Amino acid sequence: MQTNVLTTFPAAGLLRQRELVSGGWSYLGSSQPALEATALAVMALSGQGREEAYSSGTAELLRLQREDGGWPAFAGDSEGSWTTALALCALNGSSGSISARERALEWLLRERGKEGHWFWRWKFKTADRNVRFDPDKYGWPWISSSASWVIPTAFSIVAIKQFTVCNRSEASENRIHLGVEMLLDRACVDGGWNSGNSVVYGVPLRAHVEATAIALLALQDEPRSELIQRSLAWLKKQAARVDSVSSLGWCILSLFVYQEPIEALKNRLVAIVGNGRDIRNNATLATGLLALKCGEMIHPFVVLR
Amino acid sequence: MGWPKHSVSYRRPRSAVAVLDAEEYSEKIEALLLDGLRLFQLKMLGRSVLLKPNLVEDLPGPVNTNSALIGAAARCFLRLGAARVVIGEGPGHQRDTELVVQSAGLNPHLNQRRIEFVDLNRDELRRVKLKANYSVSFR
Repeated sequence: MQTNVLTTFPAAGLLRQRELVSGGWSYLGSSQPALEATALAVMALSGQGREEAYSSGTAELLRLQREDGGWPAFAGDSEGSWTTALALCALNGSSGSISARERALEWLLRERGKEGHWFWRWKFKTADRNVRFDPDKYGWPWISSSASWVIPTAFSIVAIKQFTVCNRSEASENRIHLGVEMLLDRACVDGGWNSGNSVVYGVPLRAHVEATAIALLALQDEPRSELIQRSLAWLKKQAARVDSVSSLGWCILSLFVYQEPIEALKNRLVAIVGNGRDIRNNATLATGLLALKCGEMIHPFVVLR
Repeated sequence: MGWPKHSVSYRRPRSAVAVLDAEEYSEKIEALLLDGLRLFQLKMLGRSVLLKPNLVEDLPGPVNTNSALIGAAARCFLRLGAARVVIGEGPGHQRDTELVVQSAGLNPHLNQRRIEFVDLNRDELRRVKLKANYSVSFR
């Protein structure tokens, strides 16, 4: 994999250069740190010979944690968001920051999709039946007070599974179980996941690559049901033809934990990423780097059994 | 909060609209659009233009505004004197905007000079002072 080393290094250097003077990373050259970009960059620069950036990125993550334990989507936002799960995954990569991670866990255990409230469950069961799903099974929203979505739920499951691997409480077990149930309930008819639901107004929705890859990350240690196998097969087929850095990157990260071959995909990603300069979005650049480093570092979303 | 600073106009707003007949999405659409835009006598010299198409899914089909139309519109505004054209979109369900742009066939148009794409889901947010006080502020 000599090509990988030679090619990822300049892209990693580029990501390092794009760190904001104030700390953290924005998506696209803004001066406002975005938590998704920052958390993914911290993961991508871990063990890349970029320890200074990793340390400053981690410090910025800790600085941006809210008093309630959550993280905002953007620095300065007035509420916690789905990025709390990503930040926790990033901090799970080291043994420190225990207090910050415990507060993040508490935030995640408190946060729930709107279906978690009895009134909304009742509404979805009786009056609003246009979307086919089981409201008793809820996960996590992008932002508070909204419904459960696939990607926030999947990242939250991974983050909680990682952090509580040696110390599962009843509360964390219950939320993991409920989140997994929600993902299985929302899977598309032909396998894979759309952004939130599977059938709307009687029409089956088609799966999305990123959502499927990330949902499968959350289910990596669950029993290999027929649904998971079908979704994995769908993702493998998509991975062979998708050409966007982010989707291909998430395919690689997901297929790796299912012990599927990824070398050909990585070689294709190397060619697409190049020196990274054409990738303006720092979250995308970091995802690409993480995928290219897959197998050469501890996988940031792996769940130990 | 007090009373709103803006009063409500009960006069029906009128917009200038041209309905143009095109048989298909093809190269001919640019000439048709240019003729249509000239009807409005727009003063485009040196202006920046934002085009907001609908790019929804990573599909080549009709759920997305046809890329031939988007590209033609962008080139028309440049031909009318615009300094740059920005195509902006933030898909609501499909998070991978790059994949949506690729699938919609927009990339060949974005390779042209002075036509760029902005991901509205992730681009910089700025506080904007509103003319009315219905909201405190909007970002």
